[in-house]
This record gives sequence, structure tokens and C-alpha cells, in this order.
Amino acid sequence: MEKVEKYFQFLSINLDKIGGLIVLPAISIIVMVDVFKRYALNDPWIWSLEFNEWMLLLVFAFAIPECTRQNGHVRMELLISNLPKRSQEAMDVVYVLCAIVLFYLLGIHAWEEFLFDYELGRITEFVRLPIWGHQLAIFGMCVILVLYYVLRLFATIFNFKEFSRTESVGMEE
Amino acid sequence: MNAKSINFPALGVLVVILLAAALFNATDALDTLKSLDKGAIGLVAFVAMMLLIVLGVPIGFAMLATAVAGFFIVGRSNFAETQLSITFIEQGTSFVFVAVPLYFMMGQIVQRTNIAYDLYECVYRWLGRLPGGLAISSVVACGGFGAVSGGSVTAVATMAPMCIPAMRRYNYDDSLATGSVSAAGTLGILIPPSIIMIGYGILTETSIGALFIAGIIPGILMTIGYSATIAVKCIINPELGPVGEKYSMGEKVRSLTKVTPIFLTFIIVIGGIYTGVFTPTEAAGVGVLALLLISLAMRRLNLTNFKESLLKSMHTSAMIFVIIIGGHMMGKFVVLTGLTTGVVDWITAANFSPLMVMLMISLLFIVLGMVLDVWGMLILTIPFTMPIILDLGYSPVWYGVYAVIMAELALITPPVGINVYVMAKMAPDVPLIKIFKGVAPFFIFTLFLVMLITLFPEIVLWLPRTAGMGVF
Repeated sequence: MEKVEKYFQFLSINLDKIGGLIVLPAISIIVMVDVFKRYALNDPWIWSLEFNEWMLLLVFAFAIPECTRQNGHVRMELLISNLPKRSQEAMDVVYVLCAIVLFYLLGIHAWEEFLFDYELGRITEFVRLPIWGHQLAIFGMCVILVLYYVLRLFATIFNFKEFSRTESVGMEE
Repeated sequence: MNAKSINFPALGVLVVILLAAALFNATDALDTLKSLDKGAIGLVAFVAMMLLIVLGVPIGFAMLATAVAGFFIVGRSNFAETQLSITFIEQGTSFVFVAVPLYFMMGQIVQRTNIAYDLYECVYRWLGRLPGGLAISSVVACGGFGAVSGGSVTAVATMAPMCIPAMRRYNYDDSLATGSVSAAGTLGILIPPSIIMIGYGILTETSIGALFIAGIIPGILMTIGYSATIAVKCIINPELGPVGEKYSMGEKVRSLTKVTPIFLTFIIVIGGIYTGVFTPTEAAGVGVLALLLISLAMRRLNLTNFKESLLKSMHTSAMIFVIIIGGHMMGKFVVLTGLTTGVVDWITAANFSPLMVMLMISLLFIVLGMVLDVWGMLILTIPFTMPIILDLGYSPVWYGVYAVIMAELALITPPVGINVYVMAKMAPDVPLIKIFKGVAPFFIFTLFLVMLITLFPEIVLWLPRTAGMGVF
């Protein structure tokens, strides 16, 4: 189980780094350069909006697994933090099941849409990015998250220390 | 793995839920639910969502799960997953959302490069000789920090390590010192740029530029009000906050040079939005660039700091994204059930005055703010309250500012008040109750400001109107 957690951690951290250190700076640079080109040179990039919108979804798809692994989702702590650990874990099962159902549904739909878009070869208007890329990214994120939550459920029920951490306070704000 | 290592309470919950699902599937429970009035389904869903939140399910997931279950009952079998997917892609590819990680990045850069320290030092030199001058300086510096970052917790975490030791050197009352910084941290979400306002704008499709501009006057009023509260307290009891060190005019003027970058960044970002040169997202890009250049010129930004800023901004944005798609899904579901129409009809039939309704909404916000995080509180209530507000004839821009001020209260209200907990981490020797006592006068002033903007909405709407921005 420890090894599985390490593999998951490796995957999640690296996806996060791709999103945070490559995709997000790329978006930032394009926004900045586009503003400069628009107002200083009167020659904006026609494709920048489309590209940034396309990339932004990747940022979220890459960040959500690591945000989840770091227990970053905001929740109401008032009741749960005052309960014994066993009760907290029992309540965690409710959250885990909710998450499994949500990401399963989202993943299934994303896979169907991916096949559909891929067969049609749909691309974006200006940059000609494959539309199926979005669906594939969402599908990949859902697979990782469903796997994570199933392992977390398993770890909670069989008392493994891996994956079984409960949520803590939100990351920010 | 033996029987002893099985967590029976968790297993019990799992079995109960799976049995309930199987029973639901095997019987005609779904048909019974489908036959119910849509408004009743909406009401049941709302109760279920609150239950999930109380059980510790993260707020975004609780809203998503409830909305998906609701869509499953109200619509066709694949309606729920289609709505989930559409919402995810729609919001995930919304250009406006690009602003969220960028404004977070601005806050992170200011936090990690000691630019905030220069700000505090400058304000302290100018205002330190007033009664309670150091506490007033903390409030004004927090306001200044808010002008180049979009968050509140970051403001407290950044300003407290500078302000609290300085106030302690002058024997400031612990309650006043910690209370003033905890409360002033909330200015970050009202003074533009504000991440919460972006969230509100995305959720309600209100102009984010107009929201930013509308937040300026209430933000200034709140900074002045908080400072006046401190001054009055210290005039009545000078021992609470003795005056600080004396500086010559030359020293004061010299300190201004260090804060010029922050001031210029604010002018570029907000001035650009006000004059219509930039959209809020473009302004965020320009703001990040400006701060990066300033930090590099001051040699205060290294690669590690920059990497951490990027990753932290991304995680926090992902967390907000989940909450916002939860809010969107819940909003769509609520519209489908007609629940809010029912509430609006009820309010119309009961003939409540707009002020009475605002009083009720304010009480609702205060109660929810006691138990929920600001994002949860806002995203949870907006799908329900927005139609009521529009029906009463209030501007969505005005309501955005009002809601953000109410969110500020949530940050300092016991028992959850996250700013107070952050402060407790920064000043571990000050009991929590003392910090909550310290924020009480600021809480009262904030309520006064809420009353003021409710009675005189022009306080909020005047500035965006002068910029030619639509407020309805």
C-alpha cells in the first residue's frame, strides 16, 4: 500500500508541476504579451483567448488531484473536528463515496465525448488544438481521482495509514 | 489483515449507504420521488446538502453531489452527468477564470518578497504617532496589501509577523493588537483586486470590473472606520495603544520611495480597469508582470519563491474551481426546481419591505458565517438569494459588495473565523477568546457599514457609474 501511495504521489505531484510550472506560466505570459501587443502595437494575437481557455482547463485537471491529495478542499470543520478519530473516519466514507460517484459520472461522460470528438477530429478554430484533448484530460483526472478515493476508502476500512488522512482546513481564504 | 484491523464504524457507514442505494434501486422509490412537487424536491435537496456539509463533506463536493442527485431525480437518467460535464468544461474554459490564479500569484509575490514590510514601515512612519498609531498602521498596511493581492488569510499571515512584534515592543494591549490585524486582514477581499469578487462575478455573471471599482469606496470607508475605532479606543484608554516612535519629515518622505512600486501596481491594475483599458483578467496579467519586475529589480525574488508562488496559486485556484462548479450546478438545479421562484413569491405575498428582506439575509449570512468558510457561505447562498435581490430591485454589483462585506464578517466570527485562527498561530501566547474579543469592535463597525450601504446604495454604485459601467 505504501508503494501504491508513492506511485500515486509521484503521478499527482508531477501533473501538478506540469500545470503549475509550465501551463500556468504559459497562460500568464500569453496574457501579458497579448496586452502589450494590443495596446502598444495595436496588433493582438487572434488566437490567445482560445489558447488560454483551452489551457486553463488543463491547469484545473492537473491541479485537482494534488489539491485533493493535500486535503485542500474547504469543508466545515466545526462538528467533525470535535469527534473521535473513528467517527471522523466513518464520516469520511460519506465524502469518499460522494467523490467516487461524481468523478465516475464525469469520467464516463468525458470518455464518451472523447471518442466522439476524436472520431470527428474536431479542432479549435484558431490554434487548431484537438477538442478531444480536453475530454481526455478530464477523463485522466477522473481515473486518477476515482482510483485515489477507492484506495482511500479501502485504507480507511482496513486501517492502513496510507491514503486514510481526513481533510483538514482549506488551503486558502 | 485480521478482523481487529477492520474499522467497523467506517465499514458500517459504507454498508448502510450501499444497502440504501440497493434498496432505492430495487423499489419504486425513484418514481415516488419523481412524482413529488419540484419545489419539494428542491427543499429536500437543500436539507440533504446541509446535512452533507455538516457531516464533513467538502462544500464543493456536497453541492455537486446534491445537484447531481437532484438532476437524476428531476431529469432523465443521463441528464445529471451531462450537466456535470457541461458545467465543468464551461467554467474550466472561462477566460475570466484565468484571473483567479493570476491575482493569487500577485498576493503570493507580495507575500514572499517582503514588499509588504516596506509598506508597513512607510505607513508606520506617517501614522505611528497617532493614538494607537501602530495598530492604525497595521490596518492601513493591510488595506495597502489588499490593494495588490486578492485574499484575506494571506494578508493576516503576511502582516501579523511584522505588526504584532512591533506593537508588543510598545506594550500594546494583546487584544487590540491581534484583533486589529485579524479584522484588517479582511480588507483584502473588499479592496480590489478581490478573488471573492471574481468568484461572485463568475457565478452571477456580473461585471467583475464593475465589482472591483464598486469595492473601492467601501474599502476606503472600512479602512478609515477601523482606524477611527482604534483611535477612539486609545483616546479613551491610552494604555491600550501608546504612541510610537517619532520620525523626521525627511525619513517619512524617504519611506515613500519604497512603497511607490505597490502604489504604481495598484494604479495600473485598477486604473486600467476603471478606464476600460484592461479587462480584469488582462489587468491581473499586467499586475503579475509589474510585481515580477519590481521584485526582480529589488533582487527579492528567487526561483524557489517563484515556483512556490506558482504552485500555491494553482492549488488554491483548483480548490476555488471545485467550489464554483458546485455553486453553478446547485444554481442550475435550484432554477430547475423553481425553489427560488417559490421563495420570491412568498416574499412578495408576505409583503416584506426590501429593508426587512436585507435584514433577514444579513442575519442568514451572520449565522452561516459562524459555521462556514467564506467561499462556502457565498457560493451556497447566492443561488438562493440572488433572484430575491434582483426581484427587490437591488443591483447585482451592489449585492456583490454587500455579500463580500458579509463574508468579511464570516472571517472573524466565532467559532470558525479563519483569520482569528491564523492570528492564533502567529501569536500562540494570546488566548483565542482574547483575539475574538479584540475583533468585536471591528465587527460592530462592519455591521454599521453594511447598514450604511444598504440605506445609501450610491456609496457602492457611484464610482462604477462614473466609469460608465453598467451596474444592473
